[in-house]
Amino acid sequence: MSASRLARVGIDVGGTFTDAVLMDEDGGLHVAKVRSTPRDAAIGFLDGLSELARRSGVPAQELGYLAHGTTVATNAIVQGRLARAALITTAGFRDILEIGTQQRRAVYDLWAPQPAPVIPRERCHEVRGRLDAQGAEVEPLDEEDVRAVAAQLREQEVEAVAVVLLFSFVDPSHERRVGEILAEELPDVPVALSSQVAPEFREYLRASTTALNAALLPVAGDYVRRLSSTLGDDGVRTPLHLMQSNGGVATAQTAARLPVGLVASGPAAGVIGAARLGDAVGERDLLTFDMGGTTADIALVTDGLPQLRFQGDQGGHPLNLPQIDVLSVGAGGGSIAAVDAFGSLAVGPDSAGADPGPACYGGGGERPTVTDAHLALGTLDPDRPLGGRVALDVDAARAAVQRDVAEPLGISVEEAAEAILRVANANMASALRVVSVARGHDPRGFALVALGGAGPMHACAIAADLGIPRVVVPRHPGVTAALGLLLSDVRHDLRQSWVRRTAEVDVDELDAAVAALEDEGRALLAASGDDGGGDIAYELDMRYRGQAYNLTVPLPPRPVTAETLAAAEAAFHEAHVQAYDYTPGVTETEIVTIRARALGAVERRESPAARAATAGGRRPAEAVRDVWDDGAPVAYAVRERDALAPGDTIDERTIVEQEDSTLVVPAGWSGEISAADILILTRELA
Amino acid sequence: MSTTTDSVTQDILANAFTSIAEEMAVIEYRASFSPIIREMLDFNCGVFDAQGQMVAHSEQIPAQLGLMQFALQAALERHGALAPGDAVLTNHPYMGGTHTPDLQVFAPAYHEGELVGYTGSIAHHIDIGGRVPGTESAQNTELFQEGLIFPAIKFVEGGVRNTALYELIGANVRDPNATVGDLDAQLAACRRGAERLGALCDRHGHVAVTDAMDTLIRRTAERAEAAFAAWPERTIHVEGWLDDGGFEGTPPVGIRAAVTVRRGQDAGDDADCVLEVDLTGTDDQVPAGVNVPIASAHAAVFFAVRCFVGLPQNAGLTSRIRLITRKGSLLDPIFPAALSARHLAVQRTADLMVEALGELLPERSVAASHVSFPAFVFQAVDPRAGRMTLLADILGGGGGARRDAPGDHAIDPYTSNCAILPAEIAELEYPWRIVRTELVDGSAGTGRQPGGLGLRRDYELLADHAEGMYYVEQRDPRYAPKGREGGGAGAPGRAFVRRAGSDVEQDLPGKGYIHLHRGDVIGFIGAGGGGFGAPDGSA
Repeated sequence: MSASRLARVGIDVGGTFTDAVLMDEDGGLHVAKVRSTPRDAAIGFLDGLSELARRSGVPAQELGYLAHGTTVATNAIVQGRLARAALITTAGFRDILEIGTQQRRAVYDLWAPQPAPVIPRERCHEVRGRLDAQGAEVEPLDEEDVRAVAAQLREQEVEAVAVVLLFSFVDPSHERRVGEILAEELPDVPVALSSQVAPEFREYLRASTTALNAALLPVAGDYVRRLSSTLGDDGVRTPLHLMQSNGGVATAQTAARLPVGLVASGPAAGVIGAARLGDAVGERDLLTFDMGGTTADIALVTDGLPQLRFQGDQGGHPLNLPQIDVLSVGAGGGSIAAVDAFGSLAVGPDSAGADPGPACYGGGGERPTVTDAHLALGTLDPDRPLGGRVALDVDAARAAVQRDVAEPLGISVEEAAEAILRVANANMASALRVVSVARGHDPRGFALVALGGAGPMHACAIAADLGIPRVVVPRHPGVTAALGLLLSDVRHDLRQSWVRRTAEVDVDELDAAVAALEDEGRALLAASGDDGGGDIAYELDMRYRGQAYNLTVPLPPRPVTAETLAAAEAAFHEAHVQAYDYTPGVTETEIVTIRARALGAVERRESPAARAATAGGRRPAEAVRDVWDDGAPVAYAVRERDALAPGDTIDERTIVEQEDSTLVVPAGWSGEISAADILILTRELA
Repeated sequence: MSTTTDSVTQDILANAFTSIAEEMAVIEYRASFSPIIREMLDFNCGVFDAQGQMVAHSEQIPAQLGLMQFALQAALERHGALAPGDAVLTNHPYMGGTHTPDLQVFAPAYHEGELVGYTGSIAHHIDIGGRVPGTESAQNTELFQEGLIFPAIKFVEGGVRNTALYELIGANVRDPNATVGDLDAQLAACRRGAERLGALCDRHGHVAVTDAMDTLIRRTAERAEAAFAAWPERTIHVEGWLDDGGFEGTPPVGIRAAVTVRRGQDAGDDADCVLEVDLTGTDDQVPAGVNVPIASAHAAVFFAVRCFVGLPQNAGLTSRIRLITRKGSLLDPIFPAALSARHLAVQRTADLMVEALGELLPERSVAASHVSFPAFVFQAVDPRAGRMTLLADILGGGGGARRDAPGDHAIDPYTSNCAILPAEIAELEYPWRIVRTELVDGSAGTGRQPGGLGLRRDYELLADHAEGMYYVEQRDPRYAPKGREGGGAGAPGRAFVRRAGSDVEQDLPGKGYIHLHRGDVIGFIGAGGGGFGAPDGSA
């Protein structure tokens, strides 16, 4: 009984399925997959939770940790189910969301309208009052304006308000006063202040982020609060944590106040899971490659930490928030292959999705997909239902490949299927190059983590193309996000725009600004139940004077001194050479933003070990299947993943099957199951 | 079997060329200094074959696309093939260049001693010297007022930068920090691209890579021919105007195009079908900086055609678009005519081409977007730090309405796609206050689908003195953005000043050079977009 109290659960609610994983005290894993319930995602979440309890015998009331990855914010944005929000800006700037950057999203498409702003023009209002770039008051805040706007907002029956005043990142006092007045005038309407949501310069980015946060407050915020209280009512004592886009979890209360921080919750959990799995086998520099039905998600992990980016875009709305840098490309099992009138073969980004699905699903899909190509080549077993549910029709797959690819190119079905995979692999390798090579990292020093139902089928081929020597395949490639959730830490990223020339910095002033972020971080950690054991690390965004784009470098622990600042500057020079291959003639640097990363001291748990890990040594291959490989059928050994245990080895030309995933080990690769029940494949160097 | 492999390898390599150009663009963008590059994205990168034909490009600003090959080919004509470690710098408007602030850098890519092709970068520098801050002015009267001219010189030889040249540049431009930094960023981008081309040869072989370049260009040409062949057999004539010849009171300048698909023998010896754009009816060049270098005339036409055919823009597409120009006209001026403010006529030409192609293919017709293009460069000493600053900004205006959707508000249209400078950057880094940035109510062309609204921004000077050039087109309501099929025209553009202590907004000439003093407010309005279809009830 005492053991079960330490059990940890992660539940990742995706578009189609909800994955739930429980890790018991011994590190043993229990996995449940239930259907998602898009109309009310909480139902799927609770279904997953009770299914886990049934499978593991650990009741939800006795869990020691519960974390949730959610698409509720993303879906609200994509489906336009946002709250009726209003915007209050500095006088002269009410059209800030309409104007945006004034750039067209599709330069050569004269026919496609720009995406509509989150808040329409009629609900955008102005108040007088102005600060200058140093935070000095040019004109006092006109409180009468604020009350007059509040009266209009009442009439407009708004459900949330975003407040974005110029230079509030230097001095938030005007914004805070607007917030106070709104709290008096409209006590039931939630308010988002830009100085709290995204305290950095560039007013449109800040406004777009704050507007989206406001519009999500009554939707995603409400979901989080409601789910949290349902769990409490059910006697679940451990607090609900939510995965944020930055790869750390926040308590339900914090997440409900900053729902825009949830937009990349699921993908972030997947990368965290991959990072933890890599750590379990001693790999801390990773490229994560999660290939599902419609997309492949790719991310870079260096020294165990996922790379962050500080700006993103959600449904046409730019966001200024730290998020794990996940590159999503339109290449999945359902990606459609087509040959145009000029004999050019393209794979994706069009996808057959789950409905109608690939031709082999027999669900009405007629166009050939990546999955159909695998079936035609024999990598997928026609007699084994996909994911244990979907029966595969190999004749339909071959017919589709024949009609749409082989005939137009004048080649055989197998050649056509191989061509489809080559093009798909090249697209994905190119995306992996974007996140590694293009950012100054040599992929040959990384391991590739193969995730998702389709990732392990392509991983070795792509790794070979990029010169990556090792591929890591977890025990359950399809539920890595849920695993990442149960292994997650509390994390809060704080930042403050602070633009100064490095040579002119007063280190005491900088230390005071860093200390203010530290206080904020400690307060957030305390609110998450951390009793002071948490850890705060600092970074500076720096650039050469005049550059607009910054590189983020570590700042040693407080107090800031001339020496620690010099160390940060030296790190910046080095980072610039790494990213861009050169040091410019100009060497004067500037600080742009101060960042603090507050990490909660969660109980450190060794990564998942195998439950029944005893047996070892070679086992005979269970079967042999002909797989079309480089122009000819080749005999591949076929093995069941469930029958493999730590210490077992895998030879080249093997297919490893399990319910939710298939692994292809081509010529030149071989592997061994590690003690943590994770398969490590290595390539013989020719 | 081998043809299959070739065909698939071909598709894979074609994508790889574009990835290389995009990776180059990331390097250049992130490492850049000039706000015109870093905030407004006024740059492009490309990959070229050994003959200097464009193979692939990044996607930033169409005004510079498809014409880097003219500059590269001129450089190769002068130097022959570039040796390993060499790089060329060019900006000569009469040697395939655009205007002098657009510096182009090219570097060769070698693999095991054999030339694979070239990589190139073009970027708009904030100032390259000359008569006025920011170099550009509609009121320059000869090229020699437009700053330093680099006639395709080797500024790097055998991997060694010519430091004397760098010193010369640094001494002759108004923001050497930005200019030299950006030139280094361009060179770094070209070298990264050349390395990637070499790596591609390591994987696929030198021959496969160069074959893929040839095939990509050939296939694109075939696609372009097929697309044009399906268009109607008619000649469309269009005409549009610049408000004036660069100076207040000079007559408007006409641009005229006749657009025809030429087939079979009419297409010439090397093609079965070309799109002919005859610009010979355009007015004569003017003694002002609004003439258009021939390369930029091509860019305007390429942009519009690409919107209507949806093909990648490499030498295959551009070889099937035939421009006919007249020496001595606005779109093909004679050296040393000034042309730094070419963008106004380039945008007008793009606008005419969109009109012509919409008339040829009526189901795809769209109303006119603004081409008023308010822009300026003002020089002032920032009293906070005692440093000289150059503030540049570009304002959008209304987009044209579509048959089934209204026009976009406040966009930078056609061959441009520059971002507006964030007000907070303007105030942090420059001695200016942005008083307002707002849509102009009532500025949209009326219609069943209305045009987009124009944009207004007011700038207050916080330093003792500032000076610089500015321009705004379409102040003349006769030349405001046109509606289609009964839709109304957008409201015109405008420039004005409100002197310190006064409440009066004085209209300014469309193109000028102005001195401002502390407390003065200068403002610009980008025109509204044209409407589509007669407004409901009036038809």
